[in-house]
Amino acid sequence: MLDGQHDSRPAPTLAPSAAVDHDGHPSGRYVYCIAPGSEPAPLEEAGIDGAVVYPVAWRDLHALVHDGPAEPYQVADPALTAERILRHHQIVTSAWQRLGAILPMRFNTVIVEDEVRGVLAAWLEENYSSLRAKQAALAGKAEYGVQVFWETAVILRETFAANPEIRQLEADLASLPRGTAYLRRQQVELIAKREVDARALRDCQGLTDRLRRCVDLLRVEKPRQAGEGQQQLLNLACLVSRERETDLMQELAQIDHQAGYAVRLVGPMPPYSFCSGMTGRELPG
Amino acid sequence: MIIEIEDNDLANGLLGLVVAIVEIVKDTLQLQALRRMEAGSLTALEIDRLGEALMKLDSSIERLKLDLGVAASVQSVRDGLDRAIGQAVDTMFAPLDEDELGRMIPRC
Repeated sequence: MLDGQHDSRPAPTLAPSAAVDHDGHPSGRYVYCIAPGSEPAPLEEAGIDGAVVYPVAWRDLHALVHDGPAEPYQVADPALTAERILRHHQIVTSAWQRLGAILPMRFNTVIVEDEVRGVLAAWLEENYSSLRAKQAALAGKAEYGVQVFWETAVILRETFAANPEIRQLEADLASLPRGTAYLRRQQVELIAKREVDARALRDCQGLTDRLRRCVDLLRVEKPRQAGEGQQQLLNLACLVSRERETDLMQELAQIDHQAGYAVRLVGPMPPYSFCSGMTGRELPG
Repeated sequence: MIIEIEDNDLANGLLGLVVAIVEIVKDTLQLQALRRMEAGSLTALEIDRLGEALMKLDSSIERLKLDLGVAASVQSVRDGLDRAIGQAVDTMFAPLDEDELGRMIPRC
């Protein structure tokens, strides 16, 4: 049932589940995703730490949740946190593959339930229109993580070869007194660094423009540490509809074939980066 | 700002921190020398003497790092400072949005 159409069925009332724990403290609902469907098939997979995952429905939407404490998981233990994140991703991916256009929540999205009125139910009701709009915008699309790297040695070699000032300075070094040659060498490195930085800026812009033409939406993420001998140039989250996946793959293959460049692709996966937080804010673009 | 000192040995860690600071001061002096050289405010003799002094200082620092076994510790300090500065710049120019402020939904 879409927005604007009359729904003659009474709106379901949802009693909060486990609003307080055994000690009377407020409890929480850990939210995996919002998915289409009012009567979803039961999920057979266990959630994080073996929790029972169940749907909380409102009209033709439902949230996949498990009951738990009214606080996010502690992340002090990296191994345990990684295990939980993986389990979260597996549940979300499974729902995405079965149900299509879901709105995945990021790891550690918890709702503190109210003993009088269900907070999750109220939120689904208040944000129903925007959630349906977001689902429609994400239908038939997947997220890809695209990282482009430089092979540092290749880029430096090209920079040195292309800059006449650097070539001249290097040629003069052998004939200079020792102290002067040392400073000139530092100057060469500084000029090379400036050239490389300028090229990085141009390349980032150029590659982003090329990839923007192949995707529905693009989000620039912070660069992460690269392996030895490499520098990460671009870290992008791309939202791609099925019809455009081939275009993206072809463009990435061309970039990967350029000397000194390497591409790393992750995906397809549920569109985590393109769902805003649980505030009812509309998707961009 | 957290600066991670790699080695558990406190003496080694402190030495690494001290040598890292010396290295940063040397780099700053070197940058200043390069700027003056590019601006043309140094004579040829001054450039050569400055270069000799910085070269010797550079060589001494490298030898010190090797002799004291603090090369990794120094790098760790410098990486930590780079990260701290990067985070400070990110915070100034890209404040956290609602998505990153936490996952808790307040009660209605």
